[in-house]
Amino acid sequence: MKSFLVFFFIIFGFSGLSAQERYVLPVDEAKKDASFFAFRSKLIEAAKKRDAKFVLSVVDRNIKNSFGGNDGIAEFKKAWKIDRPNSEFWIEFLPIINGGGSFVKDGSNKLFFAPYTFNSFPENIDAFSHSVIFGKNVSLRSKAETNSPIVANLSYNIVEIIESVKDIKDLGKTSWFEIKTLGGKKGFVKAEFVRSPIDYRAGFEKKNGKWKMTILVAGD
Amino acid sequence: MKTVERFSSRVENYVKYRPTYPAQVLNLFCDEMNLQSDSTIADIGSGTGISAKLFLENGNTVFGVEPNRAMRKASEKFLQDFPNFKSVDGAAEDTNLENETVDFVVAAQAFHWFDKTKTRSEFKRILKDKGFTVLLWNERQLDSTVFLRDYERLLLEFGTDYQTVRHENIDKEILRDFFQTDFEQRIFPNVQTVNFDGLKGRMLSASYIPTAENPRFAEMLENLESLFAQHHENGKIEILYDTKVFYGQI
Repeated sequence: MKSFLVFFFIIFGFSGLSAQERYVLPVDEAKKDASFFAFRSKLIEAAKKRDAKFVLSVVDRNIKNSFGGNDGIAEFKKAWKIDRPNSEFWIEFLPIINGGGSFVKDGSNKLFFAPYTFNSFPENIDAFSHSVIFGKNVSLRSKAETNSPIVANLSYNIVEIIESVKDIKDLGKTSWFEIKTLGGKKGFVKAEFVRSPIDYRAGFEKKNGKWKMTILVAGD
Repeated sequence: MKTVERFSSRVENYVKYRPTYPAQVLNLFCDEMNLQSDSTIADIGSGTGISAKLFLENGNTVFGVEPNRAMRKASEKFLQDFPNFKSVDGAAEDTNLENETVDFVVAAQAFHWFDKTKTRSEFKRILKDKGFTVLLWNERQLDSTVFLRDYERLLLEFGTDYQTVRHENIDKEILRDFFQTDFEQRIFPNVQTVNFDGLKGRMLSASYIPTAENPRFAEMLENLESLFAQHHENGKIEILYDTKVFYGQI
């Protein structure tokens, strides 16, 4: 009986403690539509090769670039300078297009949004002050240094951003985030493994029978 | 496009994160507060940079103070042609700006989210002598059109705790405490045009509106549909706001 009670406590007591943790698990619905899946595979390859010509061929002429009204492919080219080999487009775009995603209905249109962190983030948590751990077994460290002790390993947790830590070499850049998981674990995570649900996301729609990228925005 | 702005379509977030100015607001800065093209602005909670653009186009240097990294990234991209836009990781209470560096502090976010005491001393610290603090936000008009009157009645009838959360009116007392000196108030009309989906989305995202499980949900939607059918013009309806502007020298 006693061991049963201990067992009972371990199972329910533990799950009680960890019940506050919440996760945004990776989702990838691309295979639900064979034509989209084929299109995306080509786009991933092009992004890896930094093939600007291919990417531009799938950018819709009315692409939404921001919430400020500067839409269209000309503005897209101007904003991203994609023809330059060191364009930051490639750094932003690879995690997006490799990051799964899901279909959503917008009136009569069907859109695919990538990465999954945008569409799968729960509505009842403030998307402006929280982010998600973008990966499996990501080290949560006691300090914003790669050789500091690991406090825990996190996978896909929803975390509250406490503070961003600037890169010592490049002060404009955030290199670490001080975070707290919803279950209460605190520490530092490298910025590349923390993704805001309102970070850049791409939207794809079929236009005249061809898949096009119609949205690439950050913010909300 | 509602699907691309999942989070700010929530009413609270719309007010908090998507402030828009009517054009007269800039005139007010010029006429009443002596805004010059070389004035420096701290735009607190600058979001995706929409409000900063107004001042940048006027020639001003704008520090866009924004705590959310994704928002900052969006604003930096959106405003990359303006070398006078300085993107800063900071918040109202802790802007990360130097002492006495700005002529104007503009906070278009609803004021009730700030820690008033900390924010006041922070604004005072970064403002130059005789600098202005400008607070502004949008409030939905309740009875200026038949539609708005009927819409308000619908919210009162179906909203679960709407009475208690409706229009978080900022007490003059709180503003007086904040400014601790005389301040001016101006009101400008502002408008948002939506189709039925936009209206429905905006209403359903409010915290006081019952969810689909509620037995009165279907009745509520029917009421909204007939309200829209009655008042729309070419499939669009106008939600009118008052843009309230409060300014003074703290």
